[in-house]
Amino acid sequence: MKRTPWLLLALGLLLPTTVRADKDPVYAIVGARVVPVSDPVRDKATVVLRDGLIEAVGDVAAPPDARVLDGTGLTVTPGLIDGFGSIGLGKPKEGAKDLAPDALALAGVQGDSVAKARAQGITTALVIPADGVLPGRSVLLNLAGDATDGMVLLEPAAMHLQMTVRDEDYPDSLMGTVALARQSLASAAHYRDAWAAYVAAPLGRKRPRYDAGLEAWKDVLSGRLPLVVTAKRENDVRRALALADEFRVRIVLAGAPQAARLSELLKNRKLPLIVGVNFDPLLDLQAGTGDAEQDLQAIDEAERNPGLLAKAGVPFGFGSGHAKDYVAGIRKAIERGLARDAALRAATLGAAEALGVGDRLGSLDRGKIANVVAWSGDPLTKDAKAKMVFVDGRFYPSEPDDDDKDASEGKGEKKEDKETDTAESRTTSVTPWVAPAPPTAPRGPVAIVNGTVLTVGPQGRLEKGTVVFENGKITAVGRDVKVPAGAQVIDATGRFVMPGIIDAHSHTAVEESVNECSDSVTAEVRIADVLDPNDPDLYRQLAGGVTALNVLHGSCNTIGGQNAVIKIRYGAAPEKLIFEGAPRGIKFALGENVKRSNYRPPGESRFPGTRMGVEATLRDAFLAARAYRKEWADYEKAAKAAGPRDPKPVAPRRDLRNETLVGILDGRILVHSHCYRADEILMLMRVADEFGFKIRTFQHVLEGYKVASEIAKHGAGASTFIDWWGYKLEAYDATPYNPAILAAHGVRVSLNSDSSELARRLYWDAAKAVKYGGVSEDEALRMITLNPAWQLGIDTRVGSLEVGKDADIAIFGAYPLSPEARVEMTLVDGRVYFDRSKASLAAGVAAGGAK
Amino acid sequence: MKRMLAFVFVLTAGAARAAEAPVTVLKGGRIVPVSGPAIENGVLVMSGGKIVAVGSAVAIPGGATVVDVTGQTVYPGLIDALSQVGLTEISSVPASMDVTEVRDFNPQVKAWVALNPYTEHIPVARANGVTAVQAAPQGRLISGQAAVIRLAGSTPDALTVKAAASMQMAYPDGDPLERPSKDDEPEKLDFADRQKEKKKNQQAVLERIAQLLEEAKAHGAALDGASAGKAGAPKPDPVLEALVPVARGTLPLEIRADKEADIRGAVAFAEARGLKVTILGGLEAWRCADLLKQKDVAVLLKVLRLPLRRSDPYDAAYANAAILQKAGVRFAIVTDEDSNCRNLPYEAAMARAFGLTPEQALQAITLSPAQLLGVADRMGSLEVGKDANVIVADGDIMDHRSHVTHVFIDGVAQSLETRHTRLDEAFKDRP
Repeated sequence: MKRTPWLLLALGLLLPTTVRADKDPVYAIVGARVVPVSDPVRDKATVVLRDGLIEAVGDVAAPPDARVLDGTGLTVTPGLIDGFGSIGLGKPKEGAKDLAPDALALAGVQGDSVAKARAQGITTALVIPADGVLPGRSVLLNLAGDATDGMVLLEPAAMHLQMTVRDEDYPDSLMGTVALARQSLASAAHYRDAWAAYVAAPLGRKRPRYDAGLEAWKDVLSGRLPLVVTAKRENDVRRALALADEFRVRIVLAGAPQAARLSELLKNRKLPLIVGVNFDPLLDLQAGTGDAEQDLQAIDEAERNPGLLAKAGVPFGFGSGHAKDYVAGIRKAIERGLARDAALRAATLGAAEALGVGDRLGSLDRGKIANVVAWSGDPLTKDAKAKMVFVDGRFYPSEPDDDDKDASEGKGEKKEDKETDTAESRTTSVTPWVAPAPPTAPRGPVAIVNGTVLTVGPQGRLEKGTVVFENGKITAVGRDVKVPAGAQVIDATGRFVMPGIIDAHSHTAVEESVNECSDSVTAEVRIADVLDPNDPDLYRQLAGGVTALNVLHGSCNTIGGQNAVIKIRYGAAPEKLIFEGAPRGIKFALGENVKRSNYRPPGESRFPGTRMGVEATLRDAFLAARAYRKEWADYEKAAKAAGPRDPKPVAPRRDLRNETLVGILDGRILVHSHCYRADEILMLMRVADEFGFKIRTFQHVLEGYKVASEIAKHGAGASTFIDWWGYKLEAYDATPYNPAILAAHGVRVSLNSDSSELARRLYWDAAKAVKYGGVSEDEALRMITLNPAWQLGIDTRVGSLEVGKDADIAIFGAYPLSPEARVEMTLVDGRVYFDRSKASLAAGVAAGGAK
Repeated sequence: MKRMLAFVFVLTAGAARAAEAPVTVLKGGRIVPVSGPAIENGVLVMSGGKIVAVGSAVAIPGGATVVDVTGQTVYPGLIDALSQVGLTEISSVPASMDVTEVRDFNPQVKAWVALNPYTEHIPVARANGVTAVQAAPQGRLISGQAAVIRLAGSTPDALTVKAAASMQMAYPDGDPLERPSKDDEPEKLDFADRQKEKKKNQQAVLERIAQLLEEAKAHGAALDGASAGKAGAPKPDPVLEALVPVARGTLPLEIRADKEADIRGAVAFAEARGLKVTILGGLEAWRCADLLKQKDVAVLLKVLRLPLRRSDPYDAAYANAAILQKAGVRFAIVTDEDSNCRNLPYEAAMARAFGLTPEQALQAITLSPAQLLGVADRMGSLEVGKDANVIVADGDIMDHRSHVTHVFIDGVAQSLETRHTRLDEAFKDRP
């Protein structure tokens, strides 16, 4: 209770409204089996309700003034609580906003629409305004009466952030959603400080503008409101935790169909959790992925999630998650492994505790709100009927008409049949998804012996060479290297050992869209926020000898999001994928994609629509960044100059977009720019010169060969396709001789994939560089190893087999540039992540851990 | 240098043709006929557009143009049995695209009437050894009729080798025929209902096609009756007329199907109606190799793809060909591309790295596609009497580092110049 003083306060303020002028009678339910949830079950016990509260539970006599209700044969439980959903909301209004932190669910509640839920034994519900990223603030309602003012328990109850996206407007990507949440909280902090400073010392200050949205966020910052994050996937849980850590806000998780994967983390962090029972269709599976097996696995996992959480000892409550039938969802969770008493707890006290009202609701204890249900049959079984429902101590008898009508129309039965059907078909046909298990680190030194070692370093090619590594680092490379005593030996006789391949342009392992497309400058979004380490394409690329990727934002906008340089530590936590120490970077894009020549969504066109506009957009962005940098410098100067008695200046509002752009101006963030035509390549270099930064790589750069000298002079690298061409007008002058010409002019060239499929065979793209333009075979190998390493600023760590570098190694069965080439083994940090002998179609092994 | 030589050679060949049927001889190379064992230090003689001799002890005719290809390898021209070459140029520029017609059922549209002999794709593919392709329309359901074309010629007719070569169809994907308007809020179906809905939609499309085929049969009978003078001519109907040979099982119906269920569905659909069917794509053909063998259904297989299912072995697409080979399923390896049709040998190379022998891989891009396209009497191997579609490479044709040094189509040496080599020449020495 210590952590929720605000709640008590809120309850204290609001509770008086639930005390009615026309007093309800006192009720005593006698002779019933009582399940208090907080205490052991009692047979033939009495429950007394008075003045809207529970007066007594147990072996007590009915008070003389009580109306005695015979509970013989009935089971009495606390009323069910829907921890998040839309009970009581009318149809969403046409054009309802989905980015409305200031919206209140209460405004949409229709008192008369709650009777149906109440008849099912649901007595309390957290009501969320609408679908969408920021739907606003929820209200906690008791499902009593027909006027909302008598129903409110908490208003507002919580701020809501849903890990989803918008169609075309910001944010239309998951990383945009994360950025929006971060920016909102950062802006709210500034808003709070600006008002506080103004109120404390208005002289010489401007009164801040009132902002309803930031007012709402301010309550989240202060801890008055929890932030309920609706998680759709495993990593949304981590995203929510990251917000909690960065902004010190109180988080409650909702939905979370994959939460059981993170049971330990949830327990350690004591994160309140409201698990949704809307299993099928899952929120993000309405259309399906196209892989029926994967869809089934997602549904199967969601259904088993509550049972697994309970087994792991993670406390949680239930919410309907907007399911049509909350109770049917709970039954499904029971069917799939959750104990019935645990299910009842989750649907009552668990939900109450997660919402911070466990002291008032959720169990049959003296002094708690009299939300009570008497069931015929065992609660939460198919045959259970809510015979008596009490909300705030008011009695709502069941309406027998409803039952009869359903039965006579055969509705009830039909529905039940379907439930059994699908349950059967699923449990028999799904192989549950299994998370990939990263390999363990070898103990002591490991020696790869007898192979042909292509070091791509000063030692060149070594016949019958040896590579020794320990603790993930290479300790020796050479022909006459002694294998340390006790070393584990990998025999590479007849094989070729080379540094792991590095792909300088990838979009693998990104959850949801790779583009935040809504604006032409979105420097604030970060690929690192949306990495999925379980993407099977990561494994497939390991199988192509690839060990590191530059995971880039897409090319929808002039200045896209920040990229993530990763090592393919398949199955590790997302933060462990990040290539530690790699410089930050960002994606720029020029040309057709930015000006939307080939796809223009309906509605007003987004600026820019020409290459002229692209340049203008760049200049605007960096002029704004300069101004922002100055604003902060001025503030810091003023803060230093201010005497102890002077009013403290208020820090400027943190602007995540400009903050990133300043990082570019300061040379801390590497620019990787998608480009095609020679003119736009020159344009970007001119803009960079004007603002004093460098382009680290030109990506694709298909007409780079036309301006090779200029690129070399600027010092940029070129990361190109070997032979994709002709798919766009700006790719019509592409030529496979591009790498050769660029390299001959002194440009560091890498060959990238931009494709999860092509990434698996970059070694053959290197072979094509030999074919087209006669690049030497050593240089060709550099184009997929050391050169991309330099372009990403990680060449002191990877890209060649040298002492002190990371043991990121690909072992081929034949010379990598030959037509027999096939990867047999791939190591990252000295760990064997791919071993073909254990994973191939021929071996009949599905592989990769993840199924 | 090699490119320039080849260019000069075209000029001389052109001049010679005017006089008498010129004879061109390739000598000294390793000849890989595909139809038989390799011939070291062999001689191949071309005349009148045909191969007239091939072997190790062949006399070189007097007056022949002799090309010394010592140290190099001579192959039959490569054949890409599924491509869009000739029907497209720049995929993002709709004005340059003639491969996908609007509407769902277009059996009456014909690839060979819309070929662009001057597409940049032809020289690019040719310069890497591809001498013939099946140019195929693409699109929803019945896409149109495909043609086998040679990659040399200045008119569509000159390009066309065989028309029609096949009818192109896509196995229904489960979307409804009448697509709902964008404004309709889609109903949230659960998994089982989604699957049911999809099956229902697929069935509806197949029934529609079956009905068209029935009508085509009747139309064919009426046409036959009319030509035999027994009845008046039926009302002209290009759609039904185009489907007559499909319904009669004489024109292959090539159905694009990747998923196992779709492949099985396509085979069953064809079998029930006596159609001659070939599977296009075939990403999951390895899952039903036995069925394909049993029903003798061939596959036009693209190798360089990702597996379909999350749980699939990483190499499911790469090892697909080897499994079909082992099961005895007839197949050819294809690119299913336009601008990068040139990468045909590398599709085969991946199948080779994942289980095909070099000979099997080569056959899958030469003789096998010729057989599956019904042109094996004319191309696909180096045999006397076949069209002189011959290529020479300075290494293994499936080795990415190898260069194609000579390309002959119908005995005529082709220029190896492309848009790409021209750009290289123009810019490689720019300071």
